[in-house]
Amino acid sequence: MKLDRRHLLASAAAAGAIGLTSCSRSSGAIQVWAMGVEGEALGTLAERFMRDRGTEVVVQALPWSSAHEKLLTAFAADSLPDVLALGNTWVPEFVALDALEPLEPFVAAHRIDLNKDFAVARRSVTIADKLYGLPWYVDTRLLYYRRDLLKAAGFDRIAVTRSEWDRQLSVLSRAGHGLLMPINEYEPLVAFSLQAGAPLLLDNGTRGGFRQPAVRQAFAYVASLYDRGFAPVVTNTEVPDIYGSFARGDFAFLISGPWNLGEFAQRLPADLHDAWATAPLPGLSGAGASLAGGVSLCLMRASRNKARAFAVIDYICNARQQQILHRTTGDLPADQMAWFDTGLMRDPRSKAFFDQLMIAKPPPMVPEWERIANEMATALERIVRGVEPLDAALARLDAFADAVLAKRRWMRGRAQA
Amino acid sequence: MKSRRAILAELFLTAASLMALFPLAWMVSVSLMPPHDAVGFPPPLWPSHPTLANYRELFAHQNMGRYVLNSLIVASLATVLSLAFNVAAGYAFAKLRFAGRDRIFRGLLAALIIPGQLSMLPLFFLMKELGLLNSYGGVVVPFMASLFGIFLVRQYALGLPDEMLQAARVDGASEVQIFLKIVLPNLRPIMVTLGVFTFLSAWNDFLWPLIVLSHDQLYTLPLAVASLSREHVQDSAMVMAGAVVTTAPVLVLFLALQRHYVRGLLAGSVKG
Amino acid sequence: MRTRRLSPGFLFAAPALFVLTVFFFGPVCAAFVMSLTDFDIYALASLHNLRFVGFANYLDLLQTPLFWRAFANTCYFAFVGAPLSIAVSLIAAMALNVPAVRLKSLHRTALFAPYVASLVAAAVVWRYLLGSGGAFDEILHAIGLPAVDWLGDPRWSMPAIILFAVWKNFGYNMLILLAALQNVPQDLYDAARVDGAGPWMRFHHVTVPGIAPSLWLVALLTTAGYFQIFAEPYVMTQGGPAQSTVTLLYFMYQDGFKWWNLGHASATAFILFAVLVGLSLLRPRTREGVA
Repeated sequence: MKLDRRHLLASAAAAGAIGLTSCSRSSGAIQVWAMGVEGEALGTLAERFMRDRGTEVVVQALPWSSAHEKLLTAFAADSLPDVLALGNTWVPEFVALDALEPLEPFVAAHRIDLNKDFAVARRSVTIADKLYGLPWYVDTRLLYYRRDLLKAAGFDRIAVTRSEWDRQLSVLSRAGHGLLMPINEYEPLVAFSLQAGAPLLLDNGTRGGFRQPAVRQAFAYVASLYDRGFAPVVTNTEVPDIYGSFARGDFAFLISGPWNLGEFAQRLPADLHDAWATAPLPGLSGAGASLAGGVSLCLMRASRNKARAFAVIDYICNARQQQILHRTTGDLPADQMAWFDTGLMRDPRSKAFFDQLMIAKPPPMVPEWERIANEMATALERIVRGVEPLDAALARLDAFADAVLAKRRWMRGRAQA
Repeated sequence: MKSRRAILAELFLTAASLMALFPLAWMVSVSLMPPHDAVGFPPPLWPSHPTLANYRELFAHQNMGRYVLNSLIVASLATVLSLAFNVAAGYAFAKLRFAGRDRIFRGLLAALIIPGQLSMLPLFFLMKELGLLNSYGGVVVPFMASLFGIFLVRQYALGLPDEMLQAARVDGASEVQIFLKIVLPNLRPIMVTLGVFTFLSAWNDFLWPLIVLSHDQLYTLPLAVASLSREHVQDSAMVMAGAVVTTAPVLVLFLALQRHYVRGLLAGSVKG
Repeated sequence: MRTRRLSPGFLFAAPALFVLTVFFFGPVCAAFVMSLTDFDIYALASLHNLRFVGFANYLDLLQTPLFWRAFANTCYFAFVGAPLSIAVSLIAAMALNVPAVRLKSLHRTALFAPYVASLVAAAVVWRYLLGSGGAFDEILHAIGLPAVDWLGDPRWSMPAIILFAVWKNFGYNMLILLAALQNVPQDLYDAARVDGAGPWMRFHHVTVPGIAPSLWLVALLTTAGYFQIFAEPYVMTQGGPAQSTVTLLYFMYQDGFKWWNLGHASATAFILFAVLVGLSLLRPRTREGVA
């Protein structure tokens, strides 16, 4: 009966159209998806792999800005590839969907030493003691600053603690060189919140913990950076050309990620070549934590060629290929050995990233995290724009988190019952 | 001697036409700029040295040919299917009697205000069941039968003289013969209208193909341009060239068929 | 049930009705059922995790600030954008209907061109036009006004999107209204003129009544269409800045396809539907309408 109806529907839907159904998922080829420029870099890498190993690899690059809906839709459509380069923060979600294959058996078979990677990267993709991805490149946010402007204001070295930084910010922002921290980006806020030392979500990631004193204090601190006039209240679309602004000295500080190492070197005028530097985020006492990010290569549970697909992952993730990736895209290798072989450790600007990564923390590992993080930025914006006082905004944020996590609480409750 | 009214109207129309065309003209202009012209934000008005390099890059390295082909297939398929389903139905609602006809038609009319996006989420799963995700077929399904199309054809078909159909019936023609030999030729203006507008909406459709197509090999032009503009923010000249490739074919089609569809559109919409 | 010969009329209509039922009405009903469940990524993983929640999604939406934000933004867009769009269409149509005007078909083509252009492609250009130092800034500068950060300032983002949408859409209504105007007999105008009616009186007493049915239809469909705005903010601003261009359908899309909260998203869509039904009831019942 059901079959009949489906048959009927199918023929109605076809009306000549089905014949054109394309997208041959050719049996042998390993499908790989990656986001952004890495996706394009993977194209050349895949060609090398095909030449060396004779396995056909098809790479598709997705734009970052619509990647999430693309991936979930592809999951729902059963059209995920064999290998997915997945942002570490999205791994918990795809684990909840049961879309990823645990990698331990493959790691053992290929004799991969996981300790070569940054511990925080590995921790970000380990859920319930199972490893769901091989770290590919890593990412964190730290401070970019104009050394020349700092020096002109009488500071010989960049601040390590927040109180030192406050002094530098207050002098420099008065001279018109403040901090660029777009109010619609949640990463700096999350980084400072992670410095609080308290978990952002409570009860096994089923409730918001934003009203805890330490977290509240972090929000208050970030809001004060705007309130005290250190950072202008702008969104990132309002600063279309950050390189020009940074070169003009519109701001002397910027919290950003590793991609700007290459961009700054390339886009800033030659006379500023030595004028900028990087440093770990200032912390409460000493250098502070930041949020760990990065991308790992995951094997899809639905893949029909798991062994060969993992061979592709292994190839992409080995230290040599990570070095090549670093040279083409500027991405920071997840493999620490690759840092010593590339000169990343010799350049103080990238060395600062190494130091930051050693003390970075992953954000809470629940599928709902990104929505909560987005809402954190919204809450901050409401506080800064004076729509709501701090405590009301945090209460609202906790209520939002509790609502978003309600299903998780129910499922945990059911699992325990 | 011209009236003041006519002069005012001409002034207004000239200004309005310039405003309407300026963005499109500028799109073409930027698309002809060599890359270093277009790096400024925003790019200048005119290219210093006009070049087709951006178009070459699009077709040589960005798979543009494939996207043009995809769009052509999707839009043509949608047009053919839409004509097949809607013309027959529109004619039936106008000129043939069957049980419940008027009630059904009133229902369809009321349904015109249902936002199409309402059906989108479940339709996605239906497409999955039918194996139509990631296929041209999946993209054109929403265009197959449309309330608006049926309505448009019916309005036009109401104007067909009953005597003509009756005479054919007296001569012993079957309903199918009447439809093919008499009705269709007379409905040609509205068929052009429906065809052109279906082609346009399928060509320009964005949200549904975005959801249905995961593999970039099947992307239609709007998806490709959206993805280009997000991945190549710096290459505005190339993105503009993509925009021109997306816009020009339908613009030419509309210009070429203008005489026909305007008549059909007007006939279908003003009876009231 | 007795088997009866199906009438040819029904057979002609049946394929379309079948397709509509399967691919439109069926899914719409399914969407309603879905709006009563908590369908989310966990349910996507296994239907075991699906719960029937009654009207909880609707109640929850009513307490979601972003929903109200989206609702307000949508109303702003529809109630400012739609009248503006119709006004521009009507003025253009009236100008095209002035007898002595030259180059009519050229103007008509030019004014209709934006409607034909792909929205995504047009948005790419408009982002530059509206960007800092773009054409709009030049114009403001030329008439001595300060530059406006169209897409970066929450106060100006919606006006910018409205401008874009009006530019993109007014051509279609212009054609419809032009046809309606052409059906208003010229002698009515002549008679009014003989009676000494000025331009405004002629517009009020001859033009408007003459095109009223079309005007109502255009107003209804345009307003309904503007309530369904999605692609403009999606390609221009992605809902920002500060969520000032998140519309109901944008909210639904984010909820539905970015986070896969299908229950929630379906409820949003049904609320939009309810608004549109309410809107269509505003139409005067005096005439058969469009049928």
